[in-house]
Amino acid sequence: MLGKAVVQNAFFGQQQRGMATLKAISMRLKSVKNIQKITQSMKMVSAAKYARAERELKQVRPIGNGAKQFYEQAEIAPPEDVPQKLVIAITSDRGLCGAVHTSVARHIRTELAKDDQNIKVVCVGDKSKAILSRIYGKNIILACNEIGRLPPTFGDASKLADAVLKSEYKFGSGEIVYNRFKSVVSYQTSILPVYSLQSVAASPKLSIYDSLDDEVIQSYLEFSLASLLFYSMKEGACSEQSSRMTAMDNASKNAGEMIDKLTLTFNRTRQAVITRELIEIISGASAL
Amino acid sequence: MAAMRSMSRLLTSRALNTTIRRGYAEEMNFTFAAGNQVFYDGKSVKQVDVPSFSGSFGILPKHVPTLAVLKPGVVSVYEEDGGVKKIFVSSGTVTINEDSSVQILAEEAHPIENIDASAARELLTKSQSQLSSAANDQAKAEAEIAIEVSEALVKAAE
Amino acid sequence: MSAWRQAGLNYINYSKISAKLLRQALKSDLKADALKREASHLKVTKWEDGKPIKTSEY
Repeated sequence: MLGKAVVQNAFFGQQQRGMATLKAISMRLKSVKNIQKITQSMKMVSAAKYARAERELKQVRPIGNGAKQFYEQAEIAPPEDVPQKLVIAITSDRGLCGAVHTSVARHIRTELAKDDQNIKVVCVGDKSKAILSRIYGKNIILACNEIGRLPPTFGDASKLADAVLKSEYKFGSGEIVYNRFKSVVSYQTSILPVYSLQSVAASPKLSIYDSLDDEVIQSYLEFSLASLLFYSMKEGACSEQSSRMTAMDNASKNAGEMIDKLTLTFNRTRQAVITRELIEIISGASAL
Repeated sequence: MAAMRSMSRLLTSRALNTTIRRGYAEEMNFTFAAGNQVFYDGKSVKQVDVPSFSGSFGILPKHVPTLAVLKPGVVSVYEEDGGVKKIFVSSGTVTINEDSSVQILAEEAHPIENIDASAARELLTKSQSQLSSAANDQAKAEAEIAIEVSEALVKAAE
Repeated sequence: MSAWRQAGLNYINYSKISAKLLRQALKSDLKADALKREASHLKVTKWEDGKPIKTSEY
């Protein structure tokens, strides 16, 4: 995408100045062809990664839905007296994938713009960290990287969940912001709610659940945080790969268009050079 | 003791529910998903036995809503066609909702026939020596968990 | 309260130990594949006042 902008500027700049030299055009043509080769192979790589991510996502969806069920059925609401909120941004270290990371970061930035006192942020992936740390660096309590190269595992999710629980940040409610995969061409930035022990214990509907003690609920919530994180990481990874595939496909198409235009200009210029040389020869001969 | 208590609870709740909701088809919407594999996704089954920290208990359709945390052990699923599937779970959660849907989420789960009995016994000896060499409370607690798990593994593999 | 919780562990730690042992007890043909899933590459760093704290990796 960057390459496209640079090449296009140079291209138009050249047109304004009139005839480009043959050499300059052929060099540019070669570089665009190289860019196309790169974007095409990146597309192939992400297509393979996407296929795997989608297969794995199908396996994980029941976990995510199962973990969500209880919160929905028990109608748990965030406590009003504890305003502290935790926001977990699920992105990755890698770019060149359209707007997946920016849309997660933008969602969090709008929330922080409303209230930056009571919200703490956990950034998963270098991309969200890079975007959020510029203005809201003080709100970040944890940052993770080394995600995106390989598919996320349950171990990754449980490591993060453990770190969140041991961070000693007391939050009343929280949310996981991630990209939910819809189809190859679309994803939706969504949130999953996370609750603290207090807010669950305060829920009026909890009484219909039989024989619960605090330790069971605590362990339950700990595990469900890990499973929700696992699920959202998988959704995020799948959206990212599909989006990268589309982005690289578009980049290859753009490069293709540019190659066509450049080839045309190249041929025209070559013809012009030949014509000019002929004119020079003919007029030179007639002057004799 | 805990197991007995939950059994009696189960019986009473079931009797109560059948009198109230007689006429409905008794179905359990059962989901069993682990980090490595999905075993059931919204399937109807007859009964599920689960090991939990508050004692092992059986889940029949229209069980009273509850939450439980899994203990390492064998989950037995009694399928509609009469077959019984035994799956070893490492850990996870059980949710029984008001609408009679049951979710078991586990970190790792495998059918018991995939467990190697000699490997399990080896793990038990290893974790026992780990306990004797544990230097602090945390290492001791970790070793105790390891013993608990490997004992359950040995038992399941027999 | 469970002994492990008193020793400062939470259920996630418990689950991790348990899952690890289960993977190790699998029959050898399934084990290799299961152990691959165990790998975790994620790095977590604590932040304070807009700066990462170098020494506090999990």
